[in-house]
Amino acid sequence: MKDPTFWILARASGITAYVLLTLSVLAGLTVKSRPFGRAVRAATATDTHRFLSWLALGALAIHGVTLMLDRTIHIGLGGLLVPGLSGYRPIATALGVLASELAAIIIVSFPFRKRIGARTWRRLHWATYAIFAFATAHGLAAGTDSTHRWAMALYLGAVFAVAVATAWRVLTVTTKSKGDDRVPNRDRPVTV
Amino acid sequence: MTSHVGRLYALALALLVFFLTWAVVAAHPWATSAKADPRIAALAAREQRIRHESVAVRRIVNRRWAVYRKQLHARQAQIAAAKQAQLASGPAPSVRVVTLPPLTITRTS
Repeated sequence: MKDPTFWILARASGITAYVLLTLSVLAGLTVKSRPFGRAVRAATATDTHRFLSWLALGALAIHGVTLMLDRTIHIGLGGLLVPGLSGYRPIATALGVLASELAAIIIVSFPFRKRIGARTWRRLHWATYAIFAFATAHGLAAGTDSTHRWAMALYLGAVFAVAVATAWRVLTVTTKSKGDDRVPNRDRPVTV
Repeated sequence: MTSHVGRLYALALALLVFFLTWAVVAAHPWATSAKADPRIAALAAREQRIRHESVAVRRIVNRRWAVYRKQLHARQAQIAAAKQAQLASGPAPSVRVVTLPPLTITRTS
């Protein structure tokens, strides 16, 4: 019988990466909307958001390496790097590959924000929603545990939390921008 | 600005999530309540049946092969004995070739 250690590790690290990605998205959304008021400073929220992103990237790396080492499903380096090359549930795996590559680009771009330009970087950051959507679809379609109630509750809870936080942010930013009408656009601080 | 407390909480949470998920996935707490896939069960039963059949077929083939080998040896021994007897009884008698006169049939009505 095959040793299932790497297979279990791959599943656990995949779910962990998804949870950390969700928390990072939520932390990013709270930077500007500040639902906790003065209790959490914006700088703290931003730093936690970045750190959670790096942790998510680390969990993603563990997910990929353990999938390569595991013999339950045969995924090579090509399947991990090129979307659609994997023989195991190709579309769902391709979504996961796309999500992880986009996430890596965005997370690695954090230190180069000034060089890229705040506006371009902010546009790039919009891809976070696509990453979250791809990761959710990947988890639901390719995840071995996605048929279980706890996993379904996890995915639904994550989607619900991100949707609520996005709505909260949209409402908050709209309200704030109405009050900032006197400030010219070019002088406004750029926040993401 | 680096928030050490925030990072510590994030790291602790990440480790907690990872090990909790590992434990949940490895321990299969849902395994007793979940129904087994009937297709897998049917496939396993079929595999078991085919294994039994293959063992029975191999046993029958081995038995028949043993009988055949035994009969073959006996027949070969018979042939060898016949040859030996033939050699022991001396040369075979010579055959005399007789040329008969043509047969003529005469009928009277």
